[in-house]
Amino acid sequence: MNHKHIACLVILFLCVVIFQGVSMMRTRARAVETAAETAERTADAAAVTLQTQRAILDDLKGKTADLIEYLDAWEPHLSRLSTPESGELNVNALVKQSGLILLAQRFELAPNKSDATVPGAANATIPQLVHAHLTAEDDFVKSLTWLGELETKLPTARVSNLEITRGQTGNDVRLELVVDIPLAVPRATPTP
Amino acid sequence: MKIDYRPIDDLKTERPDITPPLPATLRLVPILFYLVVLGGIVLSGLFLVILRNAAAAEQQWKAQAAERTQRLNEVQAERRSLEGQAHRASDVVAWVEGARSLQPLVLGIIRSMEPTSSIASLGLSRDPATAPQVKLVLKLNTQDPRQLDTTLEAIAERNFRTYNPNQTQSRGEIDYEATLLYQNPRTFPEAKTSSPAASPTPTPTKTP
Repeated sequence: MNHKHIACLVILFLCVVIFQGVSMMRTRARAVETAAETAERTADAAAVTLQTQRAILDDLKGKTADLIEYLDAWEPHLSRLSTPESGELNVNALVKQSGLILLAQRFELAPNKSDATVPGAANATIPQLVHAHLTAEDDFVKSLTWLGELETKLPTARVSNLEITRGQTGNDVRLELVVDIPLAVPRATPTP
Repeated sequence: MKIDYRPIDDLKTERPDITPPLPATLRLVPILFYLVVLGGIVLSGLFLVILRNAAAAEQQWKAQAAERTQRLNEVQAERRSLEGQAHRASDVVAWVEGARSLQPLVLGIIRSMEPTSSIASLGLSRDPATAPQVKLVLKLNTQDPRQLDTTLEAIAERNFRTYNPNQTQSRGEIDYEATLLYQNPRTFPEAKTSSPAASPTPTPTKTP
């Protein structure tokens, strides 16, 4: 092998190197193209999912509009009675305001198992109640007026038990009632 | 003296070729080289353009996908929030429907008493599991056989319907027990024929 053969080999080697370089560049370009196509498909899929979710959200908004409006109307009354103390204070204030003769009163905190999604489990929105056991004996009109005020001024309070019997004298009646005052968990801030 | 005819400036002496010439086919090697260089430049430029465009497109699609994913997360968060509020509202509806005022009902029952009748005791209670239903226990002292009907009419006037009534009567005393269910005639026109056990999902009827 002489220098001319070596020169030919060198030139051929250079050709192969150039070919390899071009081939590598093509492979890289193809890989980037494939990545771009994958990104495009991902973006398209995200667009379809977004459109579907928006449609579901709009549908849900339409279906729950009345419920949310109802919740907005009741939320101030629920938040007013958020602690056991506030429940007791409100009931006692109504008793004092009306001048009703209260024979006995007892407040107890208890878990709320009514209206739960899972039967027997605690209610997620109103996990606790204050049971107000009240016994009063007073004039018939005064007693029933007080009962009406209680139910009007504490509209979320539930009279779960009411027993009315004749009182000791005249127009007196004896009221024995249990009022359930709901203690709702604070409302989560809605997503704008 | 003989003078050489060749120019005197060519001092190189004649020498035979050191190596023999290459075969004629190998003349294609430099041509191939030039073609490869030219093709390499052209193709490299082409692939470079493709590479840059594809990279730019990839970045653009990735940015769009990220933006859409972010919007999707926002929409899903809003949906979860809405579902949570709807669930809370359902709980509140269920509670409030079981917290309907009893005072108007009590007043109606008391005012329905004729002069010859009186109430020995009146009991109203709610079972936590079925709070919208009110259990009525009424003991009457009366000689009027129509007194109970009058009282039931007064109850019906306040949109409470009676279910499972149980009545015992002896010596001018009437013990009456029944389950009362509030029915708003504007909201539940079809519910008049349904039983309380098949009551639908609570629908807001009570307003604060």
